[in-house]
Amino acid sequence: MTYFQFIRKSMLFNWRSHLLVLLAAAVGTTILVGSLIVGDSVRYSMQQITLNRLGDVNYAIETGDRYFQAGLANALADTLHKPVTSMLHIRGLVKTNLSKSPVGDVQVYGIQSSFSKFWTVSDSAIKIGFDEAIINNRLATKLGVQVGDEILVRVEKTGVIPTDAPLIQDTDRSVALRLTIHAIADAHGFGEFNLRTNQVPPYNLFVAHDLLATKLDLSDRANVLLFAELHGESDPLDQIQNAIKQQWTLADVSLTIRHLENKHEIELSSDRIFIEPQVEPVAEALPLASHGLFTYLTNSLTNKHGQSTPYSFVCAGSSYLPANMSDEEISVSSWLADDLKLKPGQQLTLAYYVLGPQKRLLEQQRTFRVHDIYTMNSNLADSTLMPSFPGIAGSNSCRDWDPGIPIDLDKIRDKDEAYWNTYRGTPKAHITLAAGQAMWGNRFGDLTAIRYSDDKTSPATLGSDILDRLNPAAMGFVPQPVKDNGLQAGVHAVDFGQLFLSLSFFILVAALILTGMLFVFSIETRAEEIGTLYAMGFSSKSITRMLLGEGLLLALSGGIIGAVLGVLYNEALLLGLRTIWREAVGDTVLLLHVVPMTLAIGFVSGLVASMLAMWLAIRKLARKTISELHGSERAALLTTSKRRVNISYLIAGLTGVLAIALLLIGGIGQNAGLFFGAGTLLLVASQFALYAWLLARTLKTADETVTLNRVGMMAMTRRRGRSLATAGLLACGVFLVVAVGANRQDIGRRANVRSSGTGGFTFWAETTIPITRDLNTEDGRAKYGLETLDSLHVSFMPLRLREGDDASCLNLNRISQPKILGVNPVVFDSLHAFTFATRTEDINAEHPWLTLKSPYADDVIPGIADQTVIQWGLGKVVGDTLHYTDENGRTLNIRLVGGLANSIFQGNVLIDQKLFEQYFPSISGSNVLIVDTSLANESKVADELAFALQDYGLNLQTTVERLQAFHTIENTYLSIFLMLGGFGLIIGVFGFGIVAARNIWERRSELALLKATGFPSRTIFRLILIEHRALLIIGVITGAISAAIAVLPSVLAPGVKVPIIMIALILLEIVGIGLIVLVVVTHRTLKGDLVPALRKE
Amino acid sequence: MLLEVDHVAKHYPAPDGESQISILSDISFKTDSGNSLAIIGPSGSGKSTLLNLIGTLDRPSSGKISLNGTELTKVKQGELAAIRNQQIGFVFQQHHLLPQCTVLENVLLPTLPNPHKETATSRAKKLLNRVGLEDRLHHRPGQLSGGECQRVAVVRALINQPMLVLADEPTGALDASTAERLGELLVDVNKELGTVLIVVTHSSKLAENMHRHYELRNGYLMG
Repeated sequence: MTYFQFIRKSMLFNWRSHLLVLLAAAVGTTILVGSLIVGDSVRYSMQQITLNRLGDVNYAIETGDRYFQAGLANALADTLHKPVTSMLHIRGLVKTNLSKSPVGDVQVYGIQSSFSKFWTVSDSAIKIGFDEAIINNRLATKLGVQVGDEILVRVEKTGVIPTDAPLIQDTDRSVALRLTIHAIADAHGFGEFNLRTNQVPPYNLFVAHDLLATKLDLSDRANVLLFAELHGESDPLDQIQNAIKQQWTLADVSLTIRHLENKHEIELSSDRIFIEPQVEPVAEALPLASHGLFTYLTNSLTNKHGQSTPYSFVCAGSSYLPANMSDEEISVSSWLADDLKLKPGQQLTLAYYVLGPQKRLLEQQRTFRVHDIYTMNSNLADSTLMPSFPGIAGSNSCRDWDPGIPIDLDKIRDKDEAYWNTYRGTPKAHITLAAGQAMWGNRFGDLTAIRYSDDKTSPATLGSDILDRLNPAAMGFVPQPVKDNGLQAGVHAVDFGQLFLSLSFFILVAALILTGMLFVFSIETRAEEIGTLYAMGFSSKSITRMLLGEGLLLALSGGIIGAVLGVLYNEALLLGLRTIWREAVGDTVLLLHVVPMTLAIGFVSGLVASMLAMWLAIRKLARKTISELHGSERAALLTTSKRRVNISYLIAGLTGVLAIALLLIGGIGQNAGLFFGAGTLLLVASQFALYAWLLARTLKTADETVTLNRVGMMAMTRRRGRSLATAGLLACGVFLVVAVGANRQDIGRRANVRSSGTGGFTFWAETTIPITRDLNTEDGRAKYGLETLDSLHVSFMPLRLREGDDASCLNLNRISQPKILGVNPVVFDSLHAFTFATRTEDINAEHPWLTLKSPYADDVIPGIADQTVIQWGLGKVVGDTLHYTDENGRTLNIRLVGGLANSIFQGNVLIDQKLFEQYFPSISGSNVLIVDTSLANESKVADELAFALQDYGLNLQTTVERLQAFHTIENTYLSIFLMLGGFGLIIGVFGFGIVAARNIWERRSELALLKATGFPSRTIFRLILIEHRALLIIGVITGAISAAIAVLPSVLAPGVKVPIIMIALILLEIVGIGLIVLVVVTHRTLKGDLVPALRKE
Repeated sequence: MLLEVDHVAKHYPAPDGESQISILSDISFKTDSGNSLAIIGPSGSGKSTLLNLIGTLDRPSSGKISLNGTELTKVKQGELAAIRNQQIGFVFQQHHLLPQCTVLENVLLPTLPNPHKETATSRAKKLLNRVGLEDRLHHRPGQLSGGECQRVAVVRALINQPMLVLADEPTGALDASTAERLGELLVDVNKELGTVLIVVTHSSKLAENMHRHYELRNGYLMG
């Protein structure tokens, strides 16, 4: 006979009682394994989605509003010996002939044949006719179209020149394309192509590159480069940068060089009109004689008598200016001097437009003193000084001008037309470069040209020298390891394993308590056996080991069953996520993925947890005396002392006092966390009080009137641990269910409060094509046909958007670079809008929003985000820093200084608008607007906006709807928790039934005696009911009261609608099921002949 | 002396948690190998408590108990188990045989903690043969009569060749003739193996078969 043989024999002999333990252990492992596999499945799904959306694309460069030559891709492919393709990417909106409103935020790609190299599709599959498009499944489904159908696509009319730049027109902001659907691409092709890390595929539309480029006047241009996997010793990103340095040309960075032979000068200019700030120092640092020029269009040049010459170019910085000219002086042409009768020393006032926010034109003036007058044969009278302003350059007549400023044709005289015909854009006056830059300098650049003497260089050499010194990253060529980033984001995706473990926590705890309780019940039936072993010289340790040996076999068997059931449980959870809990994962396709290691971890964890539960349950059993083990309870009862009662009451009292203190502090400071703490402490206090009361009842020996109630209540004290476990389990379950149920929020009623998550704003509007004008002005509204809003008291707050990954809870991936919104913090500060949930210590305490206006250093600026984004989307805390690459290739560090409570800004990081323009100057217009209006005008404003901005791809939602969309996920999690918590409670109630059955069984002889002495069966039944009903009610009431206190702030919040009926129903359900279980158990246990039990007694 | 009980007392806390209930007071006696003694007394007089104290299943509140020169009251709990296993055999009023084990397995159970148990099986068979159960080796307790079970319990108490056998009302659950036969068996085994036998009993007939007998009354031992 060996220990193992003994354990095996005992296992087999006691299989009936062990079977329940095994099942309870299996439930615990099922929960662990199932939850962990959900985590694996979600992570796997995220990674599969990344592989599907990127095909063989490993690296990508997105230059945004900078357009390079599409042919650069071929040159790079030759250098890298790997597939490279270029594409035009722009956002657009699509509608059919039948659809009422278009589908916005469609990703429109102009692709070339080399795009096919990244997908396992044939070349023909990617061949698109000139008026054809391939769309993806999601867009096809949304539009309800199929192959052969016709669609109308509208895309932003973008161009090489940023729309926000001065003197650039912003009319005709979109271009329409009527296309026939050539094919519908699915996830196995390139249908879900997406460079953003998001599990939800975008709406994709692919057209021939030539078509899109032609329509946008961007012939042979592109703004995206895709690279296949690169090998070699050096970093692939360096390989790409080096290849670009080798292959790029000036045209790829929108620079032009021309030789002005008659002037012996070589001119560097930009297709973007203004030479970018990062190019200027490089170009000026060349060891060549050079000078910068800034030529600008003035509205008028006015003499001291008020006579004006309209719409004239003035140049700053010419090398032919008199050396002694100051910044307050101006050199005028003889033509202008004649026109305005100017003489040296007289005043001349320049009126010109500068650009305010949202292309708001601000006319400014500056008066100069005439220094000299030059003839029209002078080198200063140079028509080549005028940049190629769109709408002006190439016009046959002044009256044909269409620049980005209003032109009053009435002011144009015949002599002005004659000047244009003769001298074109020749500046009529010259000032110093400093004076010009002071007036017209802007974020797009401070020069319109740089001229070099041609005696030491040639155009080719100059171009090469400039390119050598330029950093590709500074010109927008920043390669990103999109596939690695995507896979990493998937690895660190929202951990549904942890989430479901947390949500299933109560089932797990219930299962483990049940495992321990059932095991101890099973062992208790063998107390005599343990006593005998003890008497035979087995030590407490060896007895415990033998019992745990049985436990181990049970836990192992339960673990194996649990592991199998865990896979099924995971399937059930995935099914739930695909159906009733769909909101938690959006449109994500979730795939089952079982990792053996996870299975092993779940199995071992379940095993350890079960063993721990069993060890905790039996650890005292082996220490009992032989008298106790051989059946005498009296000795056990004798061990209780008054001291123990008093200590228990003291702990209960202290915990209660602490709870009340937290409640008071929480009430004063309106701190929800303290309320929750108080509720939890109250729950603990109530359980200690119950324990103390049970102990006190044990000691109570004074004469009392014997009633049925008293006898029933006294019975609870017989097995104090059991009674406490039962009531405690129920109390904890009820606490969680009520607390979670009460936290389900309806934010609708607080929407108009400025401090709420809506900021008191009414609408959140996103447009596919940016809004470039200020909709708060008459002009702005007129441009968009929104004049009717004038009477509706509407105000708009435009937000600039730098695209990034969606960091809201709608994206399951772990994001590192969320979208950036440029906001005006002064407005939010003046409105006291939104509430900060967290903030850094150095934030401006009184005016936290204004902190955004103060950068920490050149490349470190403050940012604010929704606390949910910071915590869950980014996995960070306030004080942490996000790293971006700005438009000029510099690292931009955004330090998170505050976290907003449940706001409409989920998914974004907010920075100051001015800093936004500084770091992302090319991003023109606003794609996001938040709208403020009264409740009465809400629907009218919505209608007007929807109609006027439909061609801009307006997606309008109320701020409440937006918040509710985010809360849907939270509420879905709560639903999952409630459902799984409900299962846990069922296990708890089941455990309660087992405890009741066990109690009754143990007292069969006592009950038989009562029966023998004439107690009617109904009275005995009532006696049992009184005892267990009390436990049930104590558990439910203490749990419910503690939970009510814990969630008091949520309950009392003005916008919160607590589902009291649902909670009440759940509680009634618990009590009802508990009573039914009790009645059934009592009835079954008392059924049959009690005489044998009496005989035993 | 093999066993010395010296001024042993035992009391428990009263239900009020403050005062004490005295069970045994100032118990002293000595006995040597081959002796047998009976302890008689009314119910609740502390007979089983005294037996538990001698058998190291409980510790005295005061006084000392020595077995074969070892002062049991000073031995650590873990070592007491080994002493119980090797030097003391127990027979209870109920046989407390493990229902999942056969007769032979039940007898061999006390040898499990003992690393030198090669000869245990042959010794068990020999002892079972001695008590007339040689044809019941592979039966389970449920297949035996009460007397047979109690004989198995006696053999189980003797399997490790203890120097002290403690029997707590061993015949209490048996009919008169079976009880008589078991009493004879205990006396014979005591003589054959030279152990010290202490029997707590209500049976004056069994008590008379012992070398000495004491009476416990109100916690005091009367000689």
